[in-house]
Amino acid sequence: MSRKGIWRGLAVLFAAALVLAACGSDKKNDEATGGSSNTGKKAVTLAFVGPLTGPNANLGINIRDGMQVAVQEANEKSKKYTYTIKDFDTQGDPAQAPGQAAKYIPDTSIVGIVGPTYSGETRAVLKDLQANQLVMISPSATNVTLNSDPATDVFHRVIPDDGVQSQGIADYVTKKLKPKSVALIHDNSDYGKGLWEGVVKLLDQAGIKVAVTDAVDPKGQNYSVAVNKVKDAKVDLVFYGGYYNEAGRLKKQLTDAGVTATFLSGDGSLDPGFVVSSGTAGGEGALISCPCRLATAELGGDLGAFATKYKEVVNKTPGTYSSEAYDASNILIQGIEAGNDTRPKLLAYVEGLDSYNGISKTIQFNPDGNVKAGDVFVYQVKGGKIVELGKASELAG
Amino acid sequence: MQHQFWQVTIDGLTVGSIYALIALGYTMVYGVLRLINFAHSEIFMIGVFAALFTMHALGVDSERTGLALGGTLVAVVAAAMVASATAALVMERIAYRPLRRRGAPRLAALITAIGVSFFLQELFAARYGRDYLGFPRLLKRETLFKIFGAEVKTQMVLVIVGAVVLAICLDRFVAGSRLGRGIRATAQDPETAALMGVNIDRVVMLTFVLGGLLAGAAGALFGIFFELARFDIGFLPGIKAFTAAVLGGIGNIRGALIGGLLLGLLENWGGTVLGGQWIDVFAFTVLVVVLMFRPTGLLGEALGRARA
Amino acid sequence: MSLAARAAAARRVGVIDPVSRWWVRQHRLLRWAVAAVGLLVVLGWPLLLSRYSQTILFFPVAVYVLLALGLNVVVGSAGLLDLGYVAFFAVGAYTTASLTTSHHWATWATLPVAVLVALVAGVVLGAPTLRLRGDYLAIVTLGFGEIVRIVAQNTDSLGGPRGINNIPHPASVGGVDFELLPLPYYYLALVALGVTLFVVTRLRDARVGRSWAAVREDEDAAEAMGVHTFTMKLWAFAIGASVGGLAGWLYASKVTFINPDTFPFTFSVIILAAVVLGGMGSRAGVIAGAFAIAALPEYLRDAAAGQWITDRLNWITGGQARTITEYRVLLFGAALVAMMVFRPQGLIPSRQRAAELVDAGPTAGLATGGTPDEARVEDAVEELSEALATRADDADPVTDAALPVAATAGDRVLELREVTMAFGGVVAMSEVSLTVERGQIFGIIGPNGAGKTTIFNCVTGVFRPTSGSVVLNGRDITGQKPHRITEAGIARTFQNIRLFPNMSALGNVLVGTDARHRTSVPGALLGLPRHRREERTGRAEAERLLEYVGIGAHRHDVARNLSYGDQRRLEIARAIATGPSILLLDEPAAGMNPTEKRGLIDLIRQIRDSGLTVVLIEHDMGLVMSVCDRVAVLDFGQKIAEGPPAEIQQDERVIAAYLGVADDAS
Repeated sequence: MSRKGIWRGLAVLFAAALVLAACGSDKKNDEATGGSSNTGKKAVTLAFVGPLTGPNANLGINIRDGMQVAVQEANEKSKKYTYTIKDFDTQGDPAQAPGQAAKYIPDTSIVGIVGPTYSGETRAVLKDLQANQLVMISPSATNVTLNSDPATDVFHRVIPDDGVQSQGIADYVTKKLKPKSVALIHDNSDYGKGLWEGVVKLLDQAGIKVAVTDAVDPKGQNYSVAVNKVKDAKVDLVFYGGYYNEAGRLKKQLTDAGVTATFLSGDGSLDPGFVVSSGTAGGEGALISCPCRLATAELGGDLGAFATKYKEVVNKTPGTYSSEAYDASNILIQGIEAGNDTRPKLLAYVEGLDSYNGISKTIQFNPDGNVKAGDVFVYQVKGGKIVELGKASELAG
Repeated sequence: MQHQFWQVTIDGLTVGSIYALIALGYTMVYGVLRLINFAHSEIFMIGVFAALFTMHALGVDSERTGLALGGTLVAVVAAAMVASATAALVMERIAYRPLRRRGAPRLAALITAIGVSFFLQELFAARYGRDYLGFPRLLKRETLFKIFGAEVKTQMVLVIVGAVVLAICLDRFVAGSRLGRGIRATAQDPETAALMGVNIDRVVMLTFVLGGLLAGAAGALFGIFFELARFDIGFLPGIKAFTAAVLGGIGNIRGALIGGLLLGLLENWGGTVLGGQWIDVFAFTVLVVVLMFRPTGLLGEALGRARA
Repeated sequence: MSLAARAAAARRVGVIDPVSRWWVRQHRLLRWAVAAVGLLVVLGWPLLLSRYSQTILFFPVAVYVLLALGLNVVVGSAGLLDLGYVAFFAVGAYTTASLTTSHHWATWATLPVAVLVALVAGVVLGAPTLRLRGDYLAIVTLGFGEIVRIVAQNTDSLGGPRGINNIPHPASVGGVDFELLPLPYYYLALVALGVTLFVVTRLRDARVGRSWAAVREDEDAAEAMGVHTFTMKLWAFAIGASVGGLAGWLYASKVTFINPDTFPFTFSVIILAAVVLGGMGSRAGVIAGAFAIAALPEYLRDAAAGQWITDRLNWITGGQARTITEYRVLLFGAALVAMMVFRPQGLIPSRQRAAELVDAGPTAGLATGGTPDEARVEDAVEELSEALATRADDADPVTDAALPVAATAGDRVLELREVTMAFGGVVAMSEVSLTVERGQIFGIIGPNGAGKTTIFNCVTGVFRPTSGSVVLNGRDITGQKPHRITEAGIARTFQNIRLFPNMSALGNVLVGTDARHRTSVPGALLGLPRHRREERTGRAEAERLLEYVGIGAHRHDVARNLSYGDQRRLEIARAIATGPSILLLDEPAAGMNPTEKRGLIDLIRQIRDSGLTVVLIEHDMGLVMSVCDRVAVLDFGQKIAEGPPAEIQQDERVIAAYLGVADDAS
């Protein structure tokens, strides 16, 4: 009986805690509105929206860390504002996105969003963001129709969409690599299949023989089915649409099976994690194209400085979308520094932004929120490191 | 498909061997406790991590050969087995035994298993990050021989032979030893077994330890084969192994072995013919069809009694 | 019922948790008041909350509660473990999305379609698999859940991995706009919940609900009592699926975007966790469980002590999490384990038993029982004969045949014609022919393993005879399904008692009476006159039957708490309730003490006198010889003698094969 009593007590406490928390968090949000700190600087908040837990968290964490670098730098420099980041963990899940939106939308201390990370979760909240004039800059959502369906003012992204990328990849393939036959593989994700479809179409138009098309399960490890098909078809080029973990795994298993065809993948694979997955030997020679710059300390310049700073702040090397997240954050910060510290003002600022000289690229937004098509860069894995080969257009020359 | 048939088959057997090793753990626990131990995936995951850390500790940074290779392999596999078995034992004590003591419904234990699974995954995610960790290459990838043009490589032989040997050892142990008799008795009728002087708690612990040992071995082989570790790496092999156990007849040791190998083959054949995106649909469809004709799996429920 | 009676009633149930016990003991008015306050809170409280909390109240809270109630029908009521429930949620959502975006339907118009398509999906997925039992069903449902998701992912017309975007919100209703704000959807979800609760409650208290309980407790016994186990399981699946479809519609119309990732396997698991955590089979429990499962991770996102906990956890795990958000899944897992370890039966366990107690009349469970009161038994016998007579007026062909009033000796009720039953190479029964005449007490004896129970199993459809035929009232019933045979007029008891152990005695007998009822899901939902009539007469008849076998005083006791002898009696009452023309008793005296045996002999005679034919398998020679009109002797699967008891006792072969030994042994 005493055990039951204890449990009953716990249950009541738990219920009470739940209720209190619900009320408590409301209050917290209210207090946060337009507060000012005692340093005389005004507090503004940027929201990170994306996955921090769950199986898709790695990209989200890259982005959040990139933001953190930007915010830390801004706080060191700014005389008028103190910046903070609030995390809204969606697990990358469209189902959880609206719940988080309902949390950051009423929180008026938040003037802009870096994210959402994935295209799916972005779709799930776009209308709501539009209704509340809350500007978002995604460093990573690349689906082709995000800018138009639904058409919104708030939507921006600093990474070209999959259409631009597949064009760049197709150009590079047809002009430089000139394979006789290719294998095209994707991960059956929104991003991977989207990119893959673009590439399939363009290579088909260019008259290149597509010998193998297949998909792999990103949750699985065993890609021998796809590997055998590639090996059997004796292709010259394997293109993979998907993220770096699976790309690395696929590349390793291809290498282990003795496949010597060139391996090419897109921006989702541009991450040091590719080499972790592929192994140093397994990944050797893989090509990765990206309309973006991967920050490494060796690069020097802005990107190198960013990589150094990144290591300092979060004790990691930058990954996919880290530099994009840094740029996206800095666009917002630059706007706020210019006095645009409310949502409508910041939205108007980003909409009116002429051009921003970011570390990943020079960013200009089209009216629909897409970034103006920039150069596609090609990288190669050499000796366990991802090195930049140059602009795809120039390489194709 | 024709050219690739033998290669696909051998690859399928390799993955199937790993499924089979994990499935053995599911089957043992299920046979004795009628519990689907969802956290078994995480016991496997712990084995993968343990293998990785053992390699780091042994300073493996390149391929080894000869005696050094043999010694390292034994050490890595043994360490993973011990780690997983310990984890399984702790889990049984903390999460399952209290439930058994209270005569909780079976589904309560299922939910506990899910809770343990979440907890362990997130624990490893917090500790070791959410990105993959790579293994150093221990075993040189070489083609040992060819069967009908299919290349049989060192790592495949290691996995298949390792899995089959362990499965046979387990089968012998359960069939032949005194402790094994205790397990079989408990699986058939726990109450009578208890009356006959079988210490049920010990049998359950032993079952979890055996399951853990095999999951650890599977983890080590998986690690050596795929050379990657991550907190959620056990999820999919776990589900697959559970499917394999049911396919073979859950509670049946030989069934788990057959089920695992068969599932690996089915996946690879199905994926080759239908495309990689249909692998799971194909595997589950075969499972449904098999169960419709053989409602207790291919080999039936040997460890436990057939339910009336 | 007096307060003391309620208290006593509640105590007897034992399993009920303090909350339910308190609830059961309260006055009706107070309960109404509490319910009204509860409703007020549910309706009014969200108005005071932030938009975030309101959103959370819609998704995940309300959606989880709805899904958990639906899954509870499958798992809690019918006892079918479903690990792929999210499939129906997906089907509902995809139906809505596809019809509104590709075919320009109005969102409201898709509501019934979404529910219907999900229901059909439930039937389609259920039909081939529901014959599987327990965990085999679990893995197959898991497979179907994955198949549905992957098919959506690989189907371009459903958007493939991208999913479907721009699903229109429902049109305004009565000035309420369904746009971006969460509150209208919350109230919409409440309406859906109300409807679901209504359906679930209606069914629980009807024939369907009892059938589910029976299937859950003992599927074979249920089948033998005439429960259409397959149909009933299919109904459970279909109803669970339609609730899932309803939730899918709600979700799709609010979020306006779905893709395959919305419906992962873990979603099914989470909903199952909600059901088990709350207390399977209990509506209040399931609601509480779903609330906890949905709200806990959200609560942990910014728990008050968050930073402190995060720092400690960082220290323990060596992690670098900045906020508790990153630890919430870990804490959630730990909480799941802790909750199950400390509360394995769920937060609020099933109140079914409590409800039965409350429904009961003033004498509920108060009489101490013991030996049956002679006068009451006689009354009951009389009433039963009347009841049996009135049954004829229903003009139901099956019950017509069961009319004991028209019985005349010499009619053949049951005939076995050269029935052989072989299992592989083992012949359990070889060319046995028997004829049982109306109004007889027919005994079957024989040493262990002689094939006695095999005869019963062949007659009742558990086994299909290898050759030969079984004829009931002139109709060949060979190889029919057990529940059909029960309907045709054969009822049985089991050698090792197979009651529905957690149902009340009355509930057990009601399952039996339901064999003669026709009301299915639609009738119970609409409360059709036939449903109400059947409930009324069934209950009255069940109570009379309990009196008849002498355990009327125990009608509200849980079956497994009855004494051994009373359990035997209850099993007989349950069998008679199916309205048979012939009753098969499998070793009814096994394990009884001499007093109980004498009572049993009286009962069997009384049953015969009421007009039923009885076939009896028994080891107890004294009992067989004293009560039977005719006896058949089996040895090694063959009939070696048949005749009146006196004759059998003299039969050389019988003595040689059997009696000489068994007489002493018994």
